[in-house]
Amino acid sequence: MMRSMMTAATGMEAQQLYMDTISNNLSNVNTIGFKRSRVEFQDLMYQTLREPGVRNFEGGMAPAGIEVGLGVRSAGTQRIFEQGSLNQTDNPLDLAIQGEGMYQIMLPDGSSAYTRDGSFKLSSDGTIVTSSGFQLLPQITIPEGSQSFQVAPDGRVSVMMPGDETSMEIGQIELVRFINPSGLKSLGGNLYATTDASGLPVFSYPGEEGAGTIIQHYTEASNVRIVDEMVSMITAQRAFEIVSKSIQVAEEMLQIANNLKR
Amino acid sequence: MIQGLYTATQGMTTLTQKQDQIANNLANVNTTGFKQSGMFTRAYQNYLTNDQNQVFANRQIKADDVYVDFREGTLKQTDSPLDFCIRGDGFFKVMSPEGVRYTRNGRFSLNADGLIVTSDGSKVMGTEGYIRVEPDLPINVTESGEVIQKGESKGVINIVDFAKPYDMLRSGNSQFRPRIPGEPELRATQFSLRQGYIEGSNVDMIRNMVNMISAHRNYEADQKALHAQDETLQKAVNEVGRVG
Repeated sequence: MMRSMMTAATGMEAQQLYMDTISNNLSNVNTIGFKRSRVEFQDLMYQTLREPGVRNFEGGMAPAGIEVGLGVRSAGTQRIFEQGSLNQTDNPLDLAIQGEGMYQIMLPDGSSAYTRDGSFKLSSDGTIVTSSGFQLLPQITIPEGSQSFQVAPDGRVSVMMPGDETSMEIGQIELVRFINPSGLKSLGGNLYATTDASGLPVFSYPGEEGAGTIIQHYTEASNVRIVDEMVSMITAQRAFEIVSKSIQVAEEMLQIANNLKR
Repeated sequence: MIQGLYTATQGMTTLTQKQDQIANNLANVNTTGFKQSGMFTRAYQNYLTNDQNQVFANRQIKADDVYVDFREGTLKQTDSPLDFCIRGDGFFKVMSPEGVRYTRNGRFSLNADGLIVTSDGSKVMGTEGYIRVEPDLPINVTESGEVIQKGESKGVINIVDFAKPYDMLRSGNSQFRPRIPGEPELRATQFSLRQGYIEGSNVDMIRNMVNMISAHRNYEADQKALHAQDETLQKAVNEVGRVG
């Protein structure tokens, strides 16, 4: 009897994790460049109460064994790197990526992180940084006094200096891709880090095959779909409820067993 | 008299096993590709004869067999290019660390080598080896399982079937293995593969709830039967057998 209580408990835990993921997705419905996650469940191991093929008690061969499952486990959360919709902002430093690539960012400790959040700012020394102040790699510095700032779909950054007739190219933004982006580790702050599962970053310029192009004056909205999340929420809630009922029944059966000896 | 106590106890044990199984079905109500299981119980009759050669029967109920219900689960749209659903018969053949396994859970992703893998990292097998794809190209999969990128075939997902799928053992992780190792695989024909969909769990909530209630009530009844017999025994021991 304890077994079915534990089995049901794994179910409740799993639904709770499901709900946690949904809550996080919904909380980030307005986060720039946010990618929703989903939880993946698998059934847990099976306990064999009777091996198949043993002699049963009438002397015949039991055709099948008896196996009892021990519940459910969460095999992992997977991030869905689907394109989010684009929002026009008219801010020249808002650079959305249309395609699969990601920006490479240098963290204060010198290591690299990757992001889809292209709402950049200028630091006091004129370099392009993220909202949290991390450097975009390769570093791009806007010369002081420049009047307009343009980023072409292929990532080439050009500025117009006062008095000049033509614009001047000052660098090109690079994008990285991963063989398995779902294997990236989330660092929070819209940043991701590589893991063994994601593979090493593949560098390319925007517009090259698969890397995606850069769209200036736009930000990429989160790819959370509210209707889907609400339906998942209902599913999670009902599943939680039904599994809790099976704990209740198990508990009542235990009580009956206890009442055997009065 | 004592035999009756054992009969009732056996009933309670069986109902406990039934409840364990229902709990597992319900715990997996949101597990992709999960198939619910059911239990056959069986009444065993022992024919005993007393010293007058009169035959009387003693019936006991026991768990006899567990079967997996392979009815198709509901189809869920996910739009992810590496989510697959088998409509009809068959399993995906995957290579897990413990060897070849079969699964109906088509929620795949790519590993760092560009191979199609399941969510626990088992490699999905094609008809000729594993399937390696270019990570940056769109993936199209036909109804028969052929993986196509830019008009070029990258392999065919191997969908296999068995003569008696209901007879397979589960090995956790939503995977199955044949009961007899090395049982010949059949090439599945009655299927169509859908890309961008997954197969939900086929757990029938209402049926499981009803089974749970009936297990609960039968358990209660067994306990009552046990009690009644205990009281009769008490009479026999303490009243009939009173000395002096």
